Amino acid sequence: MATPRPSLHLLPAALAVLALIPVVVLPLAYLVYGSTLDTESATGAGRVTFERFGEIAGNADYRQGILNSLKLAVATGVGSCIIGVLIAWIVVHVRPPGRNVIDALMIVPFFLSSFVLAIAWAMLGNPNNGLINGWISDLVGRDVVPLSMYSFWGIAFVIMTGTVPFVYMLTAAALGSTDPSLEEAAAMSGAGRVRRLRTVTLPLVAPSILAGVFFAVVFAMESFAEPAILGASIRYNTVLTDIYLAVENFPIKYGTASALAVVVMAITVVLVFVQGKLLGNRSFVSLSGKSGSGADISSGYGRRARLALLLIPVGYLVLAVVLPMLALALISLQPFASPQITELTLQNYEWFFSDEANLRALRNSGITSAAAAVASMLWMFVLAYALRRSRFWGSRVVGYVALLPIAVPGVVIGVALLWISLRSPVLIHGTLIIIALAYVARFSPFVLRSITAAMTQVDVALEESARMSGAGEGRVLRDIIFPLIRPSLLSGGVIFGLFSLRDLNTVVLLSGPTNNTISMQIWSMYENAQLPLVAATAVVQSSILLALVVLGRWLGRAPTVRSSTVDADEPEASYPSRREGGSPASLASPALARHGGR
Amino acid sequence: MSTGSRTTAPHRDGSAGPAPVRQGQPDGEPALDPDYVRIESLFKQFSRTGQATRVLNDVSLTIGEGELLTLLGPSGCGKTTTLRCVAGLERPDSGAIWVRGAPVVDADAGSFVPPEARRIGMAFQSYALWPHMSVLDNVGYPLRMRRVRREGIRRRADEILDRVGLGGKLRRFPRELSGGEQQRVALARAVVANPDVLLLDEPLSNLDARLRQQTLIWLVALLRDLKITTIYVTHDQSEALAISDQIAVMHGGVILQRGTPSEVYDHPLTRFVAEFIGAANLLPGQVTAHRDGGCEVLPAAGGQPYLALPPADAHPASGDEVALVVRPEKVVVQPGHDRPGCIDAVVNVRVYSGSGWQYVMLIGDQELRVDTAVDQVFERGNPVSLSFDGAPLPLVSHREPHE
Repeated sequence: MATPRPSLHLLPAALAVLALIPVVVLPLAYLVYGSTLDTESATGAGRVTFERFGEIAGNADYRQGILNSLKLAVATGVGSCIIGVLIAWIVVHVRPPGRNVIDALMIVPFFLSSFVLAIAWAMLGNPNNGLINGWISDLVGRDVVPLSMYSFWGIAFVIMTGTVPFVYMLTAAALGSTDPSLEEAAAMSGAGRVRRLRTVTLPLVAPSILAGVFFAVVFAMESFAEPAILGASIRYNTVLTDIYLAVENFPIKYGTASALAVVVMAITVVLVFVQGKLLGNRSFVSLSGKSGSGADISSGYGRRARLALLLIPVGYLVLAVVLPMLALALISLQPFASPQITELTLQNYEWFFSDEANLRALRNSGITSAAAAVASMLWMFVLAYALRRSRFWGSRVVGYVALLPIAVPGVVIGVALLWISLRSPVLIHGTLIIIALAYVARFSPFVLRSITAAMTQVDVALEESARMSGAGEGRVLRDIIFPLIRPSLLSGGVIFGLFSLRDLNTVVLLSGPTNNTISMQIWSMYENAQLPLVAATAVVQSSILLALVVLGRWLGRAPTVRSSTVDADEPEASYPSRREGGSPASLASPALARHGGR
Repeated sequence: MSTGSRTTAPHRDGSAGPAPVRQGQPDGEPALDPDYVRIESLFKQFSRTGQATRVLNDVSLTIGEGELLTLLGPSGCGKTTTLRCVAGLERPDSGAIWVRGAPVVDADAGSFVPPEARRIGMAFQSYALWPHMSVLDNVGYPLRMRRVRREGIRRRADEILDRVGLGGKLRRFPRELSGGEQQRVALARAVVANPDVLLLDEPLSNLDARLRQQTLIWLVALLRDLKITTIYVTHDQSEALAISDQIAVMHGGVILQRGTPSEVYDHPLTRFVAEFIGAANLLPGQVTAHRDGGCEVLPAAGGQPYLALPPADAHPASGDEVALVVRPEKVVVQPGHDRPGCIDAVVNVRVYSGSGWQYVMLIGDQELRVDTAVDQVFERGNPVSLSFDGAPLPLVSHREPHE
């Protein structure tokens, strides 16, 4: 029922809506406009034409790049679907020992930097002196190259290690929240275990699986670091590496880069739109990465079977987290990269902390991430509240625009902001401001998701009862809404911080010597082939990310929980928001589960 | 809080402060205001996806001071919308509401007092307790909004929580309470600041049946004690009969009948009211004569004519088709067929209710609900003869006017 909506504090709400124009609308509009100009310059004037798209279509390399991106996306989607669903089924239904630990660890690959993982796999699996090839050669006593990560399958594999958690989280949550009696009813109707799985359980969770697969596909379309690092030596290009090279190589081709960016953006926006339709209005509130009880009758697997099946999730985690991190740690402790451990030293870390350039990059990352996170939290809080309260004409459109950057690859945002920064009358090119702006533009939707997910859980009656108690609208916002969504706001902010601290894709085109970030520092060291230093820096960065994850978990706890004093008489379920939810808390909040990204 | 001394619109400045719990009206006090709350021709429609539904269609009501009026009706009848208009959580399309002589909303004049300035307490169906606040903070919140000092809040909250039997649970959080306890906290919060009017929106509907019965009795005692003018919304007729001074039966955005519980039960004005309140049987019949201010009605199924009372505004003529309202407990059952003056029927269903039997009898193909004492046992399929006690019986029109 409609409530009267008087006296919304208009000014902040209007500002929050209008701020979308310079941050989101204008850069993307410039990008589209720039893609139609008949000049390759970002500052010169040009005639509007659509020839650029014809040129791309006529260029075999660009066609191949787009095709390669799509192939990677499909391979990743299929692969992460199989592995993600398998692990979800094992954790929820087979219930092996240690499944809670597995469940908690499954989000870790999600928070690691895909860029750093790509570097780690380059160290592990390059065909010349990769660690794995070296270990195997030592084992068999002669030089062999059984493994090359510098290949299509190598790139797809590394992307996949990052996308499996999407499919896993959505599927496990769906499996866990499926009413066990549905499967019990199938059993009582005479369906065996396999039949139940095929005819009842899987169809029930199919939409969630599909949504997860779409994630993986979009994610693969947006991946830049993996093909750039693993594909460079075999000249494997994707549309995003083409964009990068068009801007980085002389002569600079802004027009071509923009047109390519528009093409890839069109693809990803459609994919995300379809994915949103798949998820529909179904609530994934209970999505905390925590899988529920699961069907009891399906857990009749023998101990040996359960232990054997445990190998699958464990194997995945070893490949996705343990092995690459171990490789980085190992190499960071050696004077030069080698599969044989000859000498352990801390000299790389000493060097890292003694070089002013590294420290400045670290400082730049910290400042821009923190400032952008705070600005984004404030902005998105006001925007989310304005969207909740007001049903003004076009508020749906505003909501879509605010979430649009979720569908836009970081490199594309980078190209779009390049236009703004080059055309800006005020000097922002090469400053920290453009970096912070890029973070805000790219990652604010995650904060917004997190906040709106929490706000929709706040029953309108909670606001109304405060009004009836004599509180005006401002008081209601301060006394009721803010405290209730604070955990989600904070964990949204932490997610923002994580994403921006590890980000490479968004700033790779915007960052230069004057506004270097830590990821860019690793990037340039890698280009100079200083592998032990790269490894040490990557370990430092990953440690910071890990600390942030822990901080996020801690900040995201539900407030004032004192369940130790719970009364004997059973509490009623009139607070579904707090009971099932709790999950604004967990870092794997709906915001993430819906639209992960790096 | 003395009545009549304040006729201006309520203020939010807290000047009224936390008056002590309202005492019973002392003798010799001027007569209670019969128009304490006045609702005048409310209209409201919601439009969803282009389709407009009229939820309030000229609703007018007055509620006397200290009275408990129940808005009773099935879901979608407009009772909750009416309540929310009084609260200020909905705005009527047209019409006006006065509380203590001051307009709180007048849609035609464009005036609207926001809910927080109305001095109206409300308990929500979902309780709407703030999960991040303790019981004390929840109950103390209305006082805080009225700028009561901390000690004052503590004292008054203690007092009211003791009154609802939650004295020891000040520091608990809502989730740590049982449903019944949450419900009492919601009620305490609604009355803690001595509102002019108390609104209760289906307060018992989230409790299980056994708890609901206990809470109902407890609530009657509490409300009698507080003597706050109360509007109570429910769809449960037994709740309404038990608790109300006055009942207004609503259907389709219209008030069908308003009166005391016994008036509404014993003299339903329409078929809808008769069927909605206490499962009444509607027995078709024909007016045969007029006597004693009522009329004689002969059931279509036969038997004898019964004295019946038509609604005040209805004047059925001889020969008119009407319906007799026969409550299940007013049916007298005797074994066998062909008794003079009785209607032949057959036992169709028998259900044991503990205190007696509930039957469904068949007169031809018409079903008739009958409640009997525990010693009146009739087997399924057996013939019985029926007659009706308690003449004059209520009489309603054969068809609903808008049917």
